[in-house]
Amino acid sequence: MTRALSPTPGRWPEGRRYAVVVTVNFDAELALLGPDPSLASLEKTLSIFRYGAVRGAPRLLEAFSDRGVPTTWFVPGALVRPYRSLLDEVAAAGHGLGARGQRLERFDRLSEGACRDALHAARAAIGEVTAADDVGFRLPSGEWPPGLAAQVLDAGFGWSSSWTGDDVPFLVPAGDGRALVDVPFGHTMHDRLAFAWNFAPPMPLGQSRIASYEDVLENWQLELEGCRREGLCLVLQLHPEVAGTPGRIDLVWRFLDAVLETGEAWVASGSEVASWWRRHPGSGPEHPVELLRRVSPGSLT
Amino acid sequence: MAVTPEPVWPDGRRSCVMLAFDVDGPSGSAMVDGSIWGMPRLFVQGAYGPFRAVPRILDLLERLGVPATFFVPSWVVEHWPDVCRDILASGHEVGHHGYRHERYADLSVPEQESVLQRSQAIFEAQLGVRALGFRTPTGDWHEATPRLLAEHGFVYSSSFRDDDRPYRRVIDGRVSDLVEIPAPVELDDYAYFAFTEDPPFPKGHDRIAAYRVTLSNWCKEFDGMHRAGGLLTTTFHPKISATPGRAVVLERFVEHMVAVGDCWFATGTEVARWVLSHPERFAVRGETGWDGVREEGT
Ligand SMILES: [Zn+2]
Repeated sequence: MTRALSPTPGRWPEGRRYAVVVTVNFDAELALLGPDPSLASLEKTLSIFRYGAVRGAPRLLEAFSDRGVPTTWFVPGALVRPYRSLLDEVAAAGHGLGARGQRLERFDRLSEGACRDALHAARAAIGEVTAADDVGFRLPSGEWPPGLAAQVLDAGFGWSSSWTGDDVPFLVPAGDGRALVDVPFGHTMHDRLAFAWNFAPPMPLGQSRIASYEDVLENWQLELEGCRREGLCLVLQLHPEVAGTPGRIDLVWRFLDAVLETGEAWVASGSEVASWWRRHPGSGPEHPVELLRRVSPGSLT
Repeated sequence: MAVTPEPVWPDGRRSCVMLAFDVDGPSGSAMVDGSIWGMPRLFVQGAYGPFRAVPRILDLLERLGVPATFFVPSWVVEHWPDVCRDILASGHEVGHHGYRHERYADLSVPEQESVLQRSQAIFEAQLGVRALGFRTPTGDWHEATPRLLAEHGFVYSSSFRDDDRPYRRVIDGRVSDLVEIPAPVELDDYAYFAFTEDPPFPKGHDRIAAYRVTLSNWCKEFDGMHRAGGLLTTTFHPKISATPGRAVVLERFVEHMVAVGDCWFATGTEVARWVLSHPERFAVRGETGWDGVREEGT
């Protein structure tokens, strides 16, 4: 008897056994200035993130196009104007676009009105680059305030990739019988958490050593193996300034090659996975979000 | 080079493994102070344990034919009764781990009794058993806790760090029937894998350890314990070490221990009963507080 999820025919399209979603968080200078605009004079630190725009993003785009991998790029809306030509290239290459707010806001520290304004501004900005109607939202950081799922839908976003806590997509209750599909991630599959480093301001907070490249790749490959075993959905988060260096692009190449090699993966954009999952009847009463809704109705809506 | 240790385990087995999981789920300090209700992402990240990870672990243990002990806060039992019944139906044991994962050192004696009684009532109502084992939630216990455990019918605790095999505990100057099964931090998955974005854990957002290196550490700890003839127990949290990829590591670790062959895999209660029926083979340790240590040392 199997209690965990097991590969189920029909869980993914085209008879594929599991799903892999590659996402890129393109923050540019807002990585620093979104949370703290007073740091605008730190040109050297800002140049870390400019590197992502200048070198990292093109290198990632090349890696994806060489392998025919569709991806989703999450961009704060305020970057659309300054980085329009790069984002046009992303869209022209067939990648999906989504928003991480307008300026990487902490939505849990904003009023309801300010949340709404940021979401609408971000959605409008992404709409300047792409006519796609199924645009995704990723919470920049912090907690998910009550009512945000409804606001995300009302602003015209179709899905989200903001939560941990599951190995397949699930439905975040948005009230009035509505729900927002989330394509959840795990913290292992995240290049910045493994590799980002800065002197001042300190990144990460405790300035632990940069992780071993080979070990991180092996962690990713083990998560891929676990995902393959049970037929799950694996979400990778990359950042151009981190994964797009000459030394680390090799990890991206080798991970993508390992995914493609199996021939069993449905490598899809976040939007494709979310629309596929919307056909599911729901997450079921056992799902933690449903439990949370019963135990503490005010936590989500 | 290794001297064959004095045999202390059943059937001449060389060492003992008490595989143990702490099913904290979303319980913990944020649930004790109520802040979890404003942190839905943290709640869902914790709930992953009983929701997805425990079923995965039960499958793994069934494949490998190994018993385990699950310390479950009774709030988690209340909200995931079916998963907890499945733990028992699969031949494993459940133990006490607080109601909402309270830190016993912070509770008065009546508060501790109330957590113990409430939790035992939930265990009986939902699972039809009382817990015989105890593992401290969140760090230290209160000086009165061991006496309360003995009074409430607990047979063992698996909380301390001070030996690599079980011992009988001295309570109020007398050797009690409460067994301690020490649990080393090297086999606590928090030290390798736990990560929350906000509030940051680890505090400095240290990197998630290499799975391969972690497996190697765990295997070395087992190899050493087996050589020394001791008891190894784990503090594995399903939400931490049974993600799809880490469950692969967990499986390799259990396979490594099973392959050795002459290791006794037992639940906490089986270990405690063995200790109590063979008192001559196990140490007695007391409440040597800091004052006692200082007097002895001078
Ligand atoms: Zn615990």
